[in-house]
Amino acid sequence: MNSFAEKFKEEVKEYCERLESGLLQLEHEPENQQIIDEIFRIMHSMKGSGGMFGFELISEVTHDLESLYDIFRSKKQKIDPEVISFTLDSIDELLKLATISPTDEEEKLAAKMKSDTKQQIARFTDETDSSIRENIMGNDNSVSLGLNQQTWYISFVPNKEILKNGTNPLYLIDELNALGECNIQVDFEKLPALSEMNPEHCYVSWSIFIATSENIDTLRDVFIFVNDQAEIQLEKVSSINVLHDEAILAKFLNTKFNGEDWMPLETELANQEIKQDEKEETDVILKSTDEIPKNSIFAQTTVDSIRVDSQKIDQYMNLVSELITSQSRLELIASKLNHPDLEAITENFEKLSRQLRDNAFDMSLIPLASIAVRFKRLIHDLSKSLEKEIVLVTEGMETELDKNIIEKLIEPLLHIIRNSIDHGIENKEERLEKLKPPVGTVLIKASTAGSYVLIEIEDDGAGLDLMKIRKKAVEKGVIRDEAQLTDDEIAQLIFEPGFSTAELVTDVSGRGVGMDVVKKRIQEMRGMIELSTEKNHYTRISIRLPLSLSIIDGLLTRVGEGYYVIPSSVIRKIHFIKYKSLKKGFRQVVELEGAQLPYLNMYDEFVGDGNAPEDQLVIVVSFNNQLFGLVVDEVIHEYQAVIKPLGRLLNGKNAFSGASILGTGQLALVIDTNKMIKKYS
Amino acid sequence: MATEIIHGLDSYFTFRIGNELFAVNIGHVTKILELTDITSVPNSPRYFKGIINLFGDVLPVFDGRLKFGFPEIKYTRNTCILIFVFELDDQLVRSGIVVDSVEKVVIFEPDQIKPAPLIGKGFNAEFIHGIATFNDEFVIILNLEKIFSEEEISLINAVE
Repeated sequence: MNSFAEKFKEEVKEYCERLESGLLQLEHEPENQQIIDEIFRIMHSMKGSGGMFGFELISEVTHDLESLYDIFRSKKQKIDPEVISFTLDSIDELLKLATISPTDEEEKLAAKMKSDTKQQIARFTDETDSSIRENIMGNDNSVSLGLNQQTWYISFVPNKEILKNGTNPLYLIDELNALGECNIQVDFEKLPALSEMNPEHCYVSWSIFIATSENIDTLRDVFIFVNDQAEIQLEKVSSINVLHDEAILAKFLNTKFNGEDWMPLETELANQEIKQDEKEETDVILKSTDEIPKNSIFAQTTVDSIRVDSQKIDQYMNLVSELITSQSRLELIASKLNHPDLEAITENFEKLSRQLRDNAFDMSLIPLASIAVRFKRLIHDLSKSLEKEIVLVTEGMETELDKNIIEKLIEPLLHIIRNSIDHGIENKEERLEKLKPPVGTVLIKASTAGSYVLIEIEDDGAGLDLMKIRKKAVEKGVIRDEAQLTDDEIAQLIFEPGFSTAELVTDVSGRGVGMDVVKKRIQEMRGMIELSTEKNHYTRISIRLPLSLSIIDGLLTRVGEGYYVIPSSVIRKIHFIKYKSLKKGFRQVVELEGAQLPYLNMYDEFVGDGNAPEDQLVIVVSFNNQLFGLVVDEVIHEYQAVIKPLGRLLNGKNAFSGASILGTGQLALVIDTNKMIKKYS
Repeated sequence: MATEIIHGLDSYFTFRIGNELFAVNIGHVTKILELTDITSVPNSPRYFKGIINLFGDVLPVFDGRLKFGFPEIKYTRNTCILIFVFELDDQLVRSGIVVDSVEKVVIFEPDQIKPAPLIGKGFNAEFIHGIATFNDEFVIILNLEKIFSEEEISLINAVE
């Protein structure tokens, strides 16, 4: 597949995302004409570029969808939830049609979608008179020379660049011509000499008098897709057809030329209806990209941003990491050479590279809001299919996270929300019985805490049935019958592999492969997940994630000749210790502050030649709500570690989450304390 | 950085481990390094020497002798690290391997490469792409993908 087709697919995806978010918004404010307009416009653009690139199926299907929304756009009909749901489903299918050479199956799908759309259209058109159908089919009816025609003046001044978007202004003129009798004048004044002419620019503008029975909206609609690429003025000349009265037309142009206001000529033929329109008559549309911001109300986020291939960002991050590594090397050399000039420049270099690093990290962070639409969609779909009424409340969606984390977070989050809706929130009757508001709430709250991001998903549903969980856990052999567990510990059991309490396995929450996988995913990102619940009140799942996968705050330590980084987030305390005071034997414990602490002497484990130094340090780290000591030879300093993966050949096979390159070019291994402790205890 | 496999070349890079001559298609070889600092990773298999810093990338390095079942010796001044790139589960992976010495680049036409089992010696054919001869010596052309997808291999089944 060639590159422009790939680009188009990207485009379709983006269009679909915008449609999705628009539709979901429309669900709450079905009267919002602006959203409907925007949806209509997106569909039109999709149809246009689909046709241009040869994606016929997309083009055909969106054509019908566009017709459907034209019904609502021209205010003939109110949009209802069924249409919104229908459109959402169609959008999902649309992506499948993004192919140039469709298979039979895809053809079939497209045909089905088209007929479905037609049914929807019929649903709205059958109820009203046939004039709408005309509207859908385009106004190609010839103009009856009735007396109820009005004369309008249209000034159409396209921007130079209009041709670049594939718009042919002549088609618009043609379209006008179809609406009524026209007197068209072309203004060539701006046309430059041939030698200076850029064939890709449009230099002409048009003045059009049109006599038509259509109203001002229909005329305006002709230009709807070039509103931001042209200056368009619409003014009423007369409420009868005066096209053949040259004197009136000349007088009108004169008035315009002098900058005076033109009073539309009224006749006794003008009936009440037209008078009602008068308010709009003097309404002059004047739009160009510079003057009026795009009225796209839900796509604002893209206005002042550019799209960058995410691989380029990754590459950039890598380069910055390399720069920082060479910078610390330079610093090392400069301090040895002791040359004042070199030191000055090294210092400056360090400052710059630090700024560059911050900048690079900033760039790879994206707000959670970018995936929030998926949550909304899920809740919309599920509340429909499960017949529960649910609202989604979000807080702190502007919280930013590394894009790699966000990508990996989507699935787990969706799974948690699915669980909340399916198992957590009760149906209406049950809720009323419990004296709860009939509409359930799912709250997603995000906030930044230090180098961590906290995401909480809370539902006001039934909460977890701890008795049931306990029973199930015993049945499944996850715990022993006589095990003494606190309520909190029981709640965490749902993260154990092979655990599911839904009595009925629904197709929504899956087959109990859920929460353990969620936990695993979160842990893979060096995150933590916890659950708290109160029966009949709420279930809350809290996820703590590092801001970025590629950098951590850590403590650089030395064991033997090797360097190791311990993440600061798990470190509680550091104690000096004598090697002799470490108790060995059956239980390795060290006495600290009156308590016995299990420990791992990294020298003995990693080097193991029996020559451990006399003076060591215990780094106390937290491990599953307990404390554990890691014994090292030396603590060097705090260290911001750029973590490099160990590569596929080693991943997951040991207790290290990666390596970091020190200023000397040496490597330090980054310890995954959870894995390390599990492995050695 | 060159992290692409170049396909369709007839040139092979030859190197020595023990007294055997090995070869890998040159499209898989990205760098030849002198022996540098290898940071060992505790509690990893013996054939896994550790990790190195290659211009800001962290790459794993294996010991060719141990990986292929040769006896371990002290490194000499001829010892080198070869950096290979190959595909593992549809992903490009780079990895280094310590060899006793590098030889030269040789061209083998496809019909010069014979399937492994024809040789009388007890080589494990699974890890061998083929065998060719160069200067009256057998050259074992390795199948990198296979070698690195296995934990530890013994290239020589049984020493006669």
